[in-house]
Amino acid sequence: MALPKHLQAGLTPDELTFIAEEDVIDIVPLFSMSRVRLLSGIYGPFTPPGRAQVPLWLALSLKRKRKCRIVAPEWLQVGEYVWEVLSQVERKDSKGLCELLSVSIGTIRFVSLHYFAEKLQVLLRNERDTVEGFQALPRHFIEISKVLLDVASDDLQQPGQLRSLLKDLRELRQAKTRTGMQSEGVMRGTHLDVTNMTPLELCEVKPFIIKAMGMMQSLEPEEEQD
Amino acid sequence: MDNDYYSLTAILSENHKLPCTFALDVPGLGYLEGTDNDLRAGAKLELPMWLGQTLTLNDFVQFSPPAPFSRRVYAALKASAPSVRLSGFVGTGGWWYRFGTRIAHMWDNGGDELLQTLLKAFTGRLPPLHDLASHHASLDTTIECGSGTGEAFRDGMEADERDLFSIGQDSGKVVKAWYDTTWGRRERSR
Repeated sequence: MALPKHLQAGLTPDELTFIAEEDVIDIVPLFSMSRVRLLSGIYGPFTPPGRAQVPLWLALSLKRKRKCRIVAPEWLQVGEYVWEVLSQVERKDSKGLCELLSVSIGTIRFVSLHYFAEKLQVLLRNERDTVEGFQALPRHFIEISKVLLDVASDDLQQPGQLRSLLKDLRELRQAKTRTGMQSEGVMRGTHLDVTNMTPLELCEVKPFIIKAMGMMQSLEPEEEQD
Repeated sequence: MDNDYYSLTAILSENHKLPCTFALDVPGLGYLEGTDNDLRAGAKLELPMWLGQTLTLNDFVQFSPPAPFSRRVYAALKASAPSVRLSGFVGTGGWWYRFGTRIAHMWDNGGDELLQTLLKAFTGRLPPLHDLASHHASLDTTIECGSGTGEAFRDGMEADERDLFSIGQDSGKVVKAWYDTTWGRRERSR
């Protein structure tokens, strides 16, 4: 192929990020404007206290000009607030009120867990609990989280903790890739399980595993010999 | 592994000698042995792969597996595949797997066993290879690190494993570079 070597394997992380910028995200605009027609679609209206939905590239561009605040996606939030509520309720829960409150505590727990469902800590815990294979993440999870942390970290709550949680998540998944290399599928030269791996993670593994599988295939006994 | 007719790697990989025993007298070929006489049946010679292969297929000679594919190597691989140094087996940094495959395909009795051994050796060495590649990809090249246990393995890799290592290292490096740069910084500096 005529492509340079580093482009032959597939999309590069930069290209993947470019694609991820098409994803729609919520912003709170800091200017008012009626609907605007761009080549890729119609966006707006932008009315300051209300939210608007725009593609990520537009949100980032507006953010850089300080024209908007980006609303972090549900999965890029630290789920602290809900835990605080829970602990307050539990602190109030002294002897006499115990029975009275048990129902409400139950509902709050239920509500909070439900509300909690996509938060980053929960994703991390699920990843840890999913022993076999990977947990399903939003397709452009890694790209979007990195871009938002790079460009709009002041719009996220506790960016430092987000970074460390994301790093933990990445390391967990890398460890799974590593165990995957010793799985039965690879040992028999048939397959590596990449279900729910995001494209960005794939581009890290793909060139290696393709070459390895190719080598294994040539070590299989030839059948067409007879 | 491409074994295309025009593949330079395929040609280089079989640039080795094959120990052969002649099955019949050949007049006038004694110079191969270094004498002026005829070549007797039973004479042992190291023939180049391209010649040995053709002669074997026509039953003029019988070959015995070369040293890199002997019982001793099988046993060592069985004991611990990652700790065998494949790099020096077929010349320095030669293509041990490719050469082995060529031999296995012309070897009636031991071919299947050889292929199985090769495959087993490869799968046994794959996890440490992957570890090493990702380790080197994530390394900060500015920091000098001491040689760990992986380095011995790295020295023992044969040519195709080296390729695989550098492929894994490069793709890891690309991703690491992406993680390390701030997105859109180039845009803003324009």
